[in-house]
Amino acid sequence: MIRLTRTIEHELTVKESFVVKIVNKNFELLEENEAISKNNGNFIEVITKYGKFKFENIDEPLSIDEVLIIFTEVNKCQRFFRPSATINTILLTEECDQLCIMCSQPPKNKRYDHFDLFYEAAMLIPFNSTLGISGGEPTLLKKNLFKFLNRVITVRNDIRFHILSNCQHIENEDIKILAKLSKNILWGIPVYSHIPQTHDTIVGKKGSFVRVMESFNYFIQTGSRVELRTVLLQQNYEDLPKLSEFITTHLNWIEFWAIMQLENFGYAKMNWDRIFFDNSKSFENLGYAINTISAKRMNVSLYNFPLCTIPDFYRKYAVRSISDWKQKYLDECTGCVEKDYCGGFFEWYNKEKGYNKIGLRKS
Amino acid sequence: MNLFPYQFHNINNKKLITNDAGEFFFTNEKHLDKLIKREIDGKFTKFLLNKGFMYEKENDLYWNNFKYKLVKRKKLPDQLSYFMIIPTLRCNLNCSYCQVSRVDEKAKNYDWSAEDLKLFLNFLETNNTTRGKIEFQGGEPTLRLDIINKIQHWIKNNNLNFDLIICTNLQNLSNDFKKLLENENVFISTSIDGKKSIHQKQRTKDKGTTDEFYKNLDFVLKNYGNDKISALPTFTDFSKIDETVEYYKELGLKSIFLRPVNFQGFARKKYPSSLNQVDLWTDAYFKSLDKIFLNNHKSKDRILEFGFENILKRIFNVGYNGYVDLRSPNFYAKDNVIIDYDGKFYPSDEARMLTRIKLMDFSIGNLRDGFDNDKLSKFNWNSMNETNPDCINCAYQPYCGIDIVDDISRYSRADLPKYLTSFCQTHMKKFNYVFDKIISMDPVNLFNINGHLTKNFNYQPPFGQIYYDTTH
Ligand code: SF4
Ligand code: SF4
Repeated sequence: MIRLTRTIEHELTVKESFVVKIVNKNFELLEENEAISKNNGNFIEVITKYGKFKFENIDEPLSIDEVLIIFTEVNKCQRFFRPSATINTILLTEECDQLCIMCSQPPKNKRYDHFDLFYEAAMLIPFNSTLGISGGEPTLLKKNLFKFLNRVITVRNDIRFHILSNCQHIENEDIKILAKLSKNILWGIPVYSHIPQTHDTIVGKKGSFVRVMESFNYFIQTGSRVELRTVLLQQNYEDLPKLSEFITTHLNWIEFWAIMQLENFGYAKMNWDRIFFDNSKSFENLGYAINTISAKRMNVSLYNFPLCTIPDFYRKYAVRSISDWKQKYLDECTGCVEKDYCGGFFEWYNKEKGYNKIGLRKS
Repeated sequence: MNLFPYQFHNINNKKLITNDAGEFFFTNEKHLDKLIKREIDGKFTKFLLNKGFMYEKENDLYWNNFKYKLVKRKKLPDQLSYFMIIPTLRCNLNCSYCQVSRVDEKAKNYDWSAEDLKLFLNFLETNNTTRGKIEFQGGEPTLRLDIINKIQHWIKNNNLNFDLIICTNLQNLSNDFKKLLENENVFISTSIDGKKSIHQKQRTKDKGTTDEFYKNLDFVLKNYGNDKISALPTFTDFSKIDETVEYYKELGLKSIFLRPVNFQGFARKKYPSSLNQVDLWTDAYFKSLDKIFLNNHKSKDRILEFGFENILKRIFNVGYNGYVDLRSPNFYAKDNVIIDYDGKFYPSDEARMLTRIKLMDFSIGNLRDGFDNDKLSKFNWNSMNETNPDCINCAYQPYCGIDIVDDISRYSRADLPKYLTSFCQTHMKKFNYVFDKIISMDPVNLFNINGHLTKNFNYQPPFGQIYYDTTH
């Protein structure tokens, strides 16, 4: 596991927060938004134009081109963009208007809407990078969010965004900006069932399904790109076949459908026993859904599924989706022939309550 | 609630209903009647909404997704990406039904010049094509390996993403040819008519030539695997289809394309009966398909049939319109073009042959002067079944295609009522056959439908509930 926000000790001469990119240069040549990092035994030391700071040397060291945001006043440093990461995500707010039974990050009254700093940091990331944006619910800050996105792509049209949203706040008035941003944003939108009540119960909000569909109608008209996300649950396993038919008839324009296994964190951990669906025991409805989607030549992927829990034929749909900073393998994985292709488990995976069958892939 | 426009068709007393977005379902006479009279009750409404046949109000999600599917089905790629080129018309074989009007191996002035090659590469550059396929036809294109090699170098040097497909008779597997085949992006397409005796009769004539072919085929399969090669049989004797299918399986080939000898090129003179063989062919074809399906179901040694796969994909895959023999609109020179040995452009290989036998000049420009846009637009205005008076009332129109070159080649005109054409009659029968398989819900059929659509042979119907009556 890699900690993305670190407490720092510093002797910085500025009070304001600022951003830097790690470079390989002599101190004399440093620009204001550049920094050099040094491995100093127990500490990682970062040297900037405004002085030095350091933090404990655990996890992964800083790499060239990594972008940091330094919150001087609160003695924190955020690893905003790590070039080696599968995806770098901005957590915008922990507020949310839904209360999903498997939420891994239960809502809190906390915002991190440092849009100006994010903008400066975004300007420093490599060409053609993707930034994730998640919450809570990022579109609760819709006005400023759209402003920020627009500002970024006006200068850096190469940057792509992957925004996870519950899709409850997109309105007719957003059509213009959505169309403008459509090439740059991939929206990750959860839909848990084709039955409105089932979806609503899972997300803890009445009318949510209907509202998602209303937003989808704005998305389709603006050429927006959507990744549909369905977390696999005991509550919706039965619905998967019908949901796949719904998608292939009414949502043909989506980019792909991600069926996701549970991350046992937050509410998911609390509710684990009544929501976790063990696909190593039964895969039938998943197979049906995948079959329906691929027969229509649409795209479907399995996220967070250890390969050994999937029947042979369907393994090709699995994606190594668990972010590197919270991923692990188990003893069973030692010597497994699939390990290079397999995403393994979440750091907090609990074997006792987990899959019935794992680790069968010794050569 | 409102209905989108729909068409219907009778298949074995079941009523097939389709719409322009390509959605479909079956029902009985009674409910078709209700549909027509708009006596649609709540339950039926729900079904129709689920199936993509209704919308609640204009510009809602149902409406917009219908629109999306409609556009996606009609929209052709707007970049040229498939180039079929004929670097030489010369050939070292003389097959009995040769369609390409080949000339003798030693003939002069039937090859691309260095200038032509340069013009072709310029042509690719100006079209800004960075990915796609280049298919080498002939004659026998390996007589001009030098040209193929130069194109391959050019692709590598410019870091482009092209597959090269060499359509060869595999008579001569030289070391240079083998070296070319080592490249991952180079593939072979060849004709295998069946077991040695059939192949020899139709193509290779004598034992020496035949043995050479099978030796080379064997070499390619063993050294490069069966993904390297795609093979096409040509049938003149329809009673031999099953035998050939079995032979393809023995060779380890995973796919076969069953089609009759094509009534075009010089073949027309040798096989006059091929003018109207719709029933003869479709009967034999369906029988063989049935057999393939049974065998696929019985044993793990399975084979896919491309024609069936193609029709299924036209039905189920929104936007599957890369295959020129079955799509509409079928605008020419949009995504593919044929370039003959003399640098002339043609809309299709058939068009090239018909021009050679002087039926009509189908050329649509050339490497030197570019496309003849006036002629192109004349062709293209006729290449839409969406505007054809017969097709617009046909339930198969969203999936079907149009082929005016075929019509002209058979009837010397493009405006014969469609239902009188071989194209329409054949496709009507094929669609009937395929939809009959779909509605049968028979395990063997479902197994093969899935296999052809996804390569995953299984019994799950990939289309949900498709029959509506009140018991549901
Ligand atoms: S044993 Fe471990 S590495 Fe192998 S497939 Fe299972 S989870 Fe993946
Ligand atoms: S060609 Fe025949 S089968 Fe095809 S759409 Fe036209 S009428 Fe229907």
